[in-house]
Amino acid sequence: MSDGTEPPDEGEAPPGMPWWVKVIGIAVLAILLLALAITLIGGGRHGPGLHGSSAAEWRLSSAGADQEGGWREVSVG
Amino acid sequence: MLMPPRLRKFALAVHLTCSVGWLGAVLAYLVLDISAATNRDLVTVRGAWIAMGLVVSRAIVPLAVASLLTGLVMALGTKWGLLRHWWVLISFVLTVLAFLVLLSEAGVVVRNATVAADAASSAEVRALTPTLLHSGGGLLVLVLIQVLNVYKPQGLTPYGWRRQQAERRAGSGNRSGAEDQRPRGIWRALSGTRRRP
Repeated sequence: MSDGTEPPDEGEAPPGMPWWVKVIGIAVLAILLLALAITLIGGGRHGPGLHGSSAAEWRLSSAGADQEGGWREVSVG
Repeated sequence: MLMPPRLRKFALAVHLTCSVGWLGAVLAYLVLDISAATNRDLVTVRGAWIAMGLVVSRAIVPLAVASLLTGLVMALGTKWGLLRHWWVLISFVLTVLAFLVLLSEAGVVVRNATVAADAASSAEVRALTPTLLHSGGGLLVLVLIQVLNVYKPQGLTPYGWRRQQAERRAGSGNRSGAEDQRPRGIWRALSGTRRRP
């Protein structure tokens, strides 16, 4: 979102990488590695596959332990 | 090619609208997502999933495409450039990452919304897993991009520094550099500028 204001003059010396770029880079890398690890450990079930039937089994089995406070079926129309 | 000031203002207005709209749409989606994850009322959960499908397909994806494209126009059409400043480059990379994750999730959400709308049994609706991790993470990334775009932290990339040095050298003496700043072609004709004999 460059807004047309003039970029600052950065001087004569070649610039190093600012600290905040390193922080963001490490955070993004950590998240990508975490997603990769979850994918490998979960047998490739991270991402869209997580929301499919395999995840549904987990959801149904955990819901089974909560029969008392379970879902209310409400009729529509 | 740098944009003239009036076009730049218009492009900025469009880009701001799309970017903030994207963020707002993701916030609305997150509210629905939390509702689908925590509510025990079947009608509410079903409605939340249907609304999530609509918000993703009709608001988030179009706004994300528009935000990415107008961001590119703003970067390439101004002196900031796309690869010259770290904040622009990081914003672009994060936007592309967020967009790719969004595309991979959008189909699933729309499919889940269809399941929720057509499900004959409540078990099918109950089986749908919310997408809280992606929607919450996406919102954080978009907020980070907005912060970078507002504060514009200093820092030239090595490429940006080399370009700046080259432009200084080019602009430090020769008159041809000054001539290049004059309007060309139709702009020269319209403004009445005549070529020097």
